[in-house]
Amino acid sequence: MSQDRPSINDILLTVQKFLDDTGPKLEGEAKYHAQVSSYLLGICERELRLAGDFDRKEAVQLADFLGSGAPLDAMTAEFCANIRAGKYDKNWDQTLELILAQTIDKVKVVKPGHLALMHRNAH
Amino acid sequence: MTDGFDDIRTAVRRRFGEKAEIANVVVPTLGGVNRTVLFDLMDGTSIRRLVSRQETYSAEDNPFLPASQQFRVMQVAFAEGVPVPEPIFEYDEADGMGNGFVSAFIAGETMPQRIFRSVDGGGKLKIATDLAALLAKLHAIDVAKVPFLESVPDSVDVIGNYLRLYDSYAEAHPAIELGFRWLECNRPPAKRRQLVHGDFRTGNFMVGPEGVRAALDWECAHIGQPMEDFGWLCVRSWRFGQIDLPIGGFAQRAPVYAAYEAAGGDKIDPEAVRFWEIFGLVRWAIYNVMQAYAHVERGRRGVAFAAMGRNACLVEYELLMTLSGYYN
Repeated sequence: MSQDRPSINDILLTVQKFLDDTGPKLEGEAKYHAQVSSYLLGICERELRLAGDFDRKEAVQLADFLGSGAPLDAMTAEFCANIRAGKYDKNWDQTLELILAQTIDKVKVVKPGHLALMHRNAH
Repeated sequence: MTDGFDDIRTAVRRRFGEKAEIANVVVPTLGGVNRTVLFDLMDGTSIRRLVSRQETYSAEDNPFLPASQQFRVMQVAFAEGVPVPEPIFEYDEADGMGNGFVSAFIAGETMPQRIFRSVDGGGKLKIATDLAALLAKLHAIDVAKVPFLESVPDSVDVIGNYLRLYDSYAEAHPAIELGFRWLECNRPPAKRRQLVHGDFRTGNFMVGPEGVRAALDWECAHIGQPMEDFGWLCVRSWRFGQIDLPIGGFAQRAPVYAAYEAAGGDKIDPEAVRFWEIFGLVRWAIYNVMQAYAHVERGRRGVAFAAMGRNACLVEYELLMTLSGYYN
């Protein structure tokens, strides 16, 4: 299905701009909720742009780490169970590095400015 | 009269006489899940500003102390000279207002950025050393005076309790798992168990120009390792942007540890504080997961709760950066 202009990202940014313009005119809780709503739309816009690549990369990395591939959810569950069972205690640094890489991608979607400078542009 | 506060008026008259009146009623915004009402109590001889707090959300997976226990621990802390709003009375069944209590109102500022703007470097250090002295006094309270806290899950095993909560939200978080594994492998030797505030962080104490006026928000009080309070105070999120000042965004660690010891607190092991700071990051990440769970699965919906769910990864990032030594 091909849709006409504007794109979904454009729509999200347009609604976000409306909230950013209108929010400051509100009071108290409504003003705060307008800010948070704008923040949430920013997440949506970045997720639509970035999540496909991030998920593919994460699946490849996890399959490599675990030694066999499966749907991402299943691999993440297995990864978590293995961490809890202490299976990675001996390669702690490598495990931490993998989780940090996944977490950096989540933060790039949620709030990229939260990352330390060393992680802002690395991909 | 139908101003929406007849319930509080009636509750006050049951305790202070039929002539007692309430005035200057204010409902602060951003009250969260509780109903909070400020009012003046006029009992014929004096006027006193008070705060009423009622629970409006009491799900069984709520990890917080019931209001009656908060009230009792505040009574003990107040009697022992810890700066805390004076507990006035607890709502009972006859009030028909559910769980809640009334305490003294303490004026001042709780908002972190406003506090940071209002004081200079010396003022910040004063606040931080006040916090240390407050904790020393709190931790010195004989736990036999708060026996009702012994059965609280956080008192039995605080880390195990958060693992149980995390599991109950049924969402896979490798960073949180790694945090728990680190805690499992690095637990410092247990020292004597003491009264722990449990939510002692910037934003939860009242500050005036002269320093700290009161510790607020006692719903996480329990009996445990006192360094848990220091670890939580140092969690990066509670520095509110002042990341180079680990003690709540106010000060460096060393002078504050020294102030705690000078005020009678046990000698501080910085490694133990780091352990509880890691726990604090795990715990704060789980709080965020919990808010998303309540939003998605429990019908307690709202944009702020939705955002908190996504913000869990921001805390996970800080946890991993702290574990790897990039952040301290």
